[in-house]
Amino acid sequence: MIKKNQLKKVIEKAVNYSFKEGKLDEKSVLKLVKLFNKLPLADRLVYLKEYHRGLIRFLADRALMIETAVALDQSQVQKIRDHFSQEKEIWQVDVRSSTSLIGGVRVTIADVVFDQTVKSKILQVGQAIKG
Amino acid sequence: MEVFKQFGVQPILLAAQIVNFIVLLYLLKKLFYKPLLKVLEERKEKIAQSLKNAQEIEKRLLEIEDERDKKLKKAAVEAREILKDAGKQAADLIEEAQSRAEAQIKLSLKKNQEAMDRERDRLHQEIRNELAQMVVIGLEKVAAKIITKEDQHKIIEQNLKQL
Repeated sequence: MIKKNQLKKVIEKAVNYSFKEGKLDEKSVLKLVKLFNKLPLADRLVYLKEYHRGLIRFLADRALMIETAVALDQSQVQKIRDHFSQEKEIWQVDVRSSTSLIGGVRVTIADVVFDQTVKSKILQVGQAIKG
Repeated sequence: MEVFKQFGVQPILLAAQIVNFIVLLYLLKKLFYKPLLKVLEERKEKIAQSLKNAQEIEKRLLEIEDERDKKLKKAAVEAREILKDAGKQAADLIEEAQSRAEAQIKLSLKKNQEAMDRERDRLHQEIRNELAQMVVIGLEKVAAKIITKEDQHKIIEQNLKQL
């Protein structure tokens, strides 16, 4: 039986070990996978699954997503990146354009959402009417 | 003696008459009066006994009548008590039934009121949801039409200033 705290600590260490200089280090990943493969089958599956999730979560925590109704220029993107990099480490910036937002900007990094879109304002009005 | 002679009474005949009378009296007493008197005495005793019995019976009848009257009075009192109790019990039952009916009516009314309140709230919420949805759709359509590209850039600039 795997203890949850032990699993969490091991996965956290493994994920941190897998990234070097802001990038995923393939050699480290392969080394860790080999290590996990030495475990009994049941434990191996759990560790590999959690390790995979950890890697995805690690990257998602460092990915900045910017959504707008119209395309942003580089300076605007940089400004947003600079602002959020003060609080979180940013490895990747994903800029998306969607007319459904109507106007404004929505920035998402990890579990933080900065939503100033017209769409969200309208939805807030709807929520206020619903009570 | 001269007197007897003057009246023609012969002493010997008188004495014989007296003796005859005494013998007759004795015989009558012995053979006739005594049994007759005995029979009369027995008859008298019987009559007295009958009278006594009659008196006893009358007394007993009076007692029975008195007892019957008492019993009737007692029964009447008991009947009145029973009727009174029955009336009271009936009144209590009616009152209890009324109280129960009132409680049930109140409970029913309360439940109905609660159900109506819930239904009203549900309808209000449904109307609010519908209204909110309509407002959202309307605002989205209107905003999409009236917000120009220039407006969108201005909004973005304002958003960036807010960072």
